[in-house]
Amino acid sequence: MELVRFSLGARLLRAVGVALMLAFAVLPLLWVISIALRPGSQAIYPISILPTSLTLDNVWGVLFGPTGIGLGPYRNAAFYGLSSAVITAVASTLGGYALARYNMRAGEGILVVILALSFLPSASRIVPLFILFSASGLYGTSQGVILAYAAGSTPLGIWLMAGAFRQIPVRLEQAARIDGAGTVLTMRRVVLPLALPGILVVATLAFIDGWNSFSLPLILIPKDTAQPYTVALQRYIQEIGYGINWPLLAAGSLVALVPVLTVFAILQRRLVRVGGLGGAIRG
Amino acid sequence: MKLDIEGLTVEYGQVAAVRGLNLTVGHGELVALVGPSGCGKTTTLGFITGFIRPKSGRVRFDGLDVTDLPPQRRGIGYVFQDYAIYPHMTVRENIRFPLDAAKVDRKKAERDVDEIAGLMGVGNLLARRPHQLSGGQRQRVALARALVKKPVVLLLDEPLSNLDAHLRVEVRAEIRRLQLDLKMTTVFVTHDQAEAMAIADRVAVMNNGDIVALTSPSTLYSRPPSLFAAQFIGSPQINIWATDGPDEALARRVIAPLVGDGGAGLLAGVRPEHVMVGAGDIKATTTLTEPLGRDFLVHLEVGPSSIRSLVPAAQGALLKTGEVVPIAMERSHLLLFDAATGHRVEIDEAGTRREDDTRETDGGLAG
Repeated sequence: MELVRFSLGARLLRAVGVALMLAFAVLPLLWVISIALRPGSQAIYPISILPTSLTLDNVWGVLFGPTGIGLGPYRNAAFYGLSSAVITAVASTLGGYALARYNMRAGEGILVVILALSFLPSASRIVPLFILFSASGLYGTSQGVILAYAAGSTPLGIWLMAGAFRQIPVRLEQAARIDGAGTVLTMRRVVLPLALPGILVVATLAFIDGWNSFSLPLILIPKDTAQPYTVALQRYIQEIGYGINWPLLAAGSLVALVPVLTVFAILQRRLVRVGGLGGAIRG
Repeated sequence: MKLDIEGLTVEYGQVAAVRGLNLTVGHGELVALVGPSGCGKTTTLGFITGFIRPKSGRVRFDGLDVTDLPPQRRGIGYVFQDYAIYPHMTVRENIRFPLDAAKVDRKKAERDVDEIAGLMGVGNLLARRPHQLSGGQRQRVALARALVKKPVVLLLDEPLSNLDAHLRVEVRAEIRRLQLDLKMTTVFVTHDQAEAMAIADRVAVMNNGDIVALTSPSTLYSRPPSLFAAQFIGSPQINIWATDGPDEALARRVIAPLVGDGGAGLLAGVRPEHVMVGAGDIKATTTLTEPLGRDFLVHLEVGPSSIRSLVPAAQGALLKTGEVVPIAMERSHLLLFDAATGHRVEIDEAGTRREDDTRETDGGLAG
């Protein structure tokens, strides 16, 4: 392999570029943390970049305080996200397998349409979903929200799973058949274990999508029923008469980060290790 | 177990991959399917397993028609060219899988796994995973997995082609020994004619979707039923000269002792080892000598015709390019083919031509 050498200027330019992108991603996060962990007295004008003392009062306040949103909205978001993850994983596995294995003439076309759908902003679905849900009685129900989440996550999921299944040699399924395994056993013992990294990726993406979702539950769930934290936190922007309650808003957002980071911490190695096929086919 | 294939025709779209093939493999017999790529040998195997649906044709195991059974209910043992070992299972789990699928009692299954693994020499690898195995070890695991459920028929699809050359000969002998011990009815697919000859009770040479020769390796070599079989089997390739065309002079001279009429419409075939250099009444010019180890392959020319000869290394080393040497063909090993049909032709005392019908009658071990 040839090593590409950059001139000093090019390397500097690149470093600056990376630093800018990093700042764009990380600075708001750092600011949220900075606000969330400072005493309320330091969150008013004139504001300092760094707090002079740290406190968990805001975190406590948002979870358990009299003006807090409580644990409920987080529990709701987790329930919606997890349910959507399960539905998305099942639907994507079935759909992806069909696209990968059955020789459908329209298969490639379907994949492209599915991928295009997954790029549509969720906002574009809101009005049709609202009308649909109002008419069908799903409006305001948790089943409705979960279905809406799963419907949003499944297109990309199918696309990812089709790719994952295509990496599993058909030979392995044929070998299982010859070894006497029917469809169920072939799936359970051979195909699904090999597709597990892909399934985990799809489920994780769906969970995070659901956990973070704001506009869908805002429209589909009426006030004061089973709102997720994203919607519940709004009260600090709208309903308090004294402007925006930045400390509690920041603390609420900070709490929301915890499950996302936890999922990544637990799964990152499994998510990256897509391989798992070494040795099936000659080395 | 006796395996019967009757009237197999498989079409991919408009193209016929196999046309009207018939094959019977006797109990405990090993038949090698050999032929150039695209001749239909893997398709035939796919039909026996049930993965390939034919346009017509039946397959019977001991007379029982299994054509409509799905692959998992046929009880076949199969070794894939690339082994297809389950990468997420240990060697033990791989070999046990067919027993698990058959819901064999766990204790008995473990005993069977230990037994076959010992037989295949992988008993010490049972805890490993496939990526920790060498090619030869994977091959043995695949074989153990195919054999553990005591299959009714063993199908081997190019099982040696991913091994190193020296390992190939070793494993080939192991497979043959095991197959003989277990009296396993076996179909062995390969594109390597030498491998087919070495391992099989009978060799089926395939071309264009049908079997063009089916007989024992020695008959196939010494009295091949067709020109295609004669040219496909044997390395270096057999010399073929036509009695009309540029080789006319040489061909007529070679077959003159056998036929009175000059042999119109015939092809003369002589294997290189039956062309003797150093004596005889044909003068040939040496154009190239290739040392092959035990032998030398000598390229000669007589007029416009070229000749390949295998001579012992001691003699071959002395031959010089451009040297003119006397050569002779061993008459008893001279083969004649009909130029139009490609069938081998025998000529009796009275000079009557009779076509070889080995294809239809030779039963080998089967019966």
